[in-house]
Amino acid sequence: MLSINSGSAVPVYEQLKRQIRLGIVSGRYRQGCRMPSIRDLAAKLKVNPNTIAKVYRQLEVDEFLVSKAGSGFFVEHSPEKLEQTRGELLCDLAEEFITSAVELGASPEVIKNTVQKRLEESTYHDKA
Amino acid sequence: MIKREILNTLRQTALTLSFGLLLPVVYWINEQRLVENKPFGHYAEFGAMTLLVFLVLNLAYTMFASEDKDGAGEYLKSLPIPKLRLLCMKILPRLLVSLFFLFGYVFTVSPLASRFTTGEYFVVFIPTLVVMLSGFLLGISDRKNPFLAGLLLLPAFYWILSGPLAASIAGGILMKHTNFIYETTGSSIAQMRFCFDASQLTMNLLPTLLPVAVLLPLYRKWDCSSGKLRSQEMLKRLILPTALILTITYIIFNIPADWLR
Amino acid sequence: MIKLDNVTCGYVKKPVQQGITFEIEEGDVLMITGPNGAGKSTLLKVLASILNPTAGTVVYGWPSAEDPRKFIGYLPDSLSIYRSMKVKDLSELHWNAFGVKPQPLPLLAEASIEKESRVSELSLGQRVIFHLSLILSTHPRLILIDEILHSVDVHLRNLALEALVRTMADENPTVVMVNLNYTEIEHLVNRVVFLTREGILLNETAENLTNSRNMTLSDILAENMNSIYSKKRQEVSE
Repeated sequence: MLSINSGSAVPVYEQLKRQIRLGIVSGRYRQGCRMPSIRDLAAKLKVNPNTIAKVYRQLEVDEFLVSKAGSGFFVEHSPEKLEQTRGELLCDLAEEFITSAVELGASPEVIKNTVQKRLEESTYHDKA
Repeated sequence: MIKREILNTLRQTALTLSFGLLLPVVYWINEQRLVENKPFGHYAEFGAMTLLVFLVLNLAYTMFASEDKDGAGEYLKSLPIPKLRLLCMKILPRLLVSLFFLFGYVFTVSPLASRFTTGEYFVVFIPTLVVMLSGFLLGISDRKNPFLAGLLLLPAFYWILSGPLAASIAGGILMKHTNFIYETTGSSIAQMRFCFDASQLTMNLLPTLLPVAVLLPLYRKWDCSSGKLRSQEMLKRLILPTALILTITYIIFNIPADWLR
Repeated sequence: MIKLDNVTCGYVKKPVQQGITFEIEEGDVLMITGPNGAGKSTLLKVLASILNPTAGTVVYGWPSAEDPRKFIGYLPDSLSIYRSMKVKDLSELHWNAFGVKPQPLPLLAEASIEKESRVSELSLGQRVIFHLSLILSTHPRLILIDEILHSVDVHLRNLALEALVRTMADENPTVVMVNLNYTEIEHLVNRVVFLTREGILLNETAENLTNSRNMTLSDILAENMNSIYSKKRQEVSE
């Protein structure tokens, strides 16, 4: 479900763009599925409809969505786009994680080992 | 909206006129109390006249009572109804009801019933409207100013003392005055007639100055400003016309005697 | 474009605001905020065309032959309305006055408002929903809302805001809200005017404000409020 963090200084426009890209990459918004109408999404989130329209239009320019006259916006992208975006989002996440970890005072070795360990444990859970 | 106004008018009329039911009660009480009681016709006439003046004033005074009671003043102002149309919707039902009862009174209970000329229809209509407008102005003022009330009720006072309502009050001040002139100056019938007409015109038409002096500027400035502000504005504009009216009244009722000698 | 030019309003001897000049673009969502007593409601009444400014002019940029009130939907904080009338009769009166056809008001059912009940029998929140529905049903070009949303419970406030946003999406009206509680509407608003007794302290787009300070709109406005009150406290202690 799309939501907004009111307390964040990140503008709503950016927040929504990110969340939708995330949703597309994670498969929550599959190819061909219809995005909520500008009207309904604006009403649900209490956001200016112009902002929602801006987000959708930008995502259309970025080739994630396609607008079909009268029907709204649909998810339509190339598979390369998906992988590329996944890579970009992963980089962003990594950047955030590393910045915080460095603030903690952890060395690159410790960081790498921690990540390795967590991955092993989570795959262990997955397999189980 | 007009439907609502008509209903409110009728409701207010019924309420006011229901006081007329007191007349037979008062008559009956006096029958028991007094040794020599006046005939019921006398009570009816006097009661009808008082009730009529009160009806006209009350209908006008309560013109915006429902908006006041309901707190709908701002709301009414926000509706895109032209000022003139709104005032017509408010005033017309009330004016028509007033005239209906007034003519009813004039043609039944009043001693003038048999002698009413066509010219005098006009004379009946104008003071009614003037008293209505005065009542209306009183209704939209802050209602806490007795001096303002006094000034605004001047037309009603004049109306009671003259015109078709006054025939029964001590024979009417006008008639009395005219007779007085006739007796003291020995003037001709034509002159007497002139005096009578002049004084009647004064009493009936002159008070028109009062609400007119207030209404025209107020009409332009009509909005949600406070009653207190409106009262101040009205007072400012009433002083001069009132002085003028009283002066002219004095002149009309005093000079002819000297002039005719 | 709605232009206020050198507007003075309030009492002649004691004006509430003087020399107010600013413009509102068509489709703007403007929030007027500021300390109590600054004259925000009075200014809104001038915009609603129910109060004449004692000086200055208001130009709406609409066809001048028509009564501007026809295109304005005003929700006062007094919720002024014929309280003794029934919901259905009042709706009829309203539509008659605005010359629009009677229409269903779906919000009423959601707020459990019966058409036969009198307005005085409704709760405050229900009255707001009803009044707002009436206003939106005439498809106004200018919507004015004065502070009343604060006093409504969360569920009904949600309902009201959703209805407002849907109208914004469908008709792109100009919206002006006087508001002291910014958090819920800060994402609806694209321009803020901060009004104090001395006049307009701030007149900025929301974007400019948040971009330049990297804070949320609520925080920036709260900061302004605090600075005003601390200045006042200083003046009093001196």
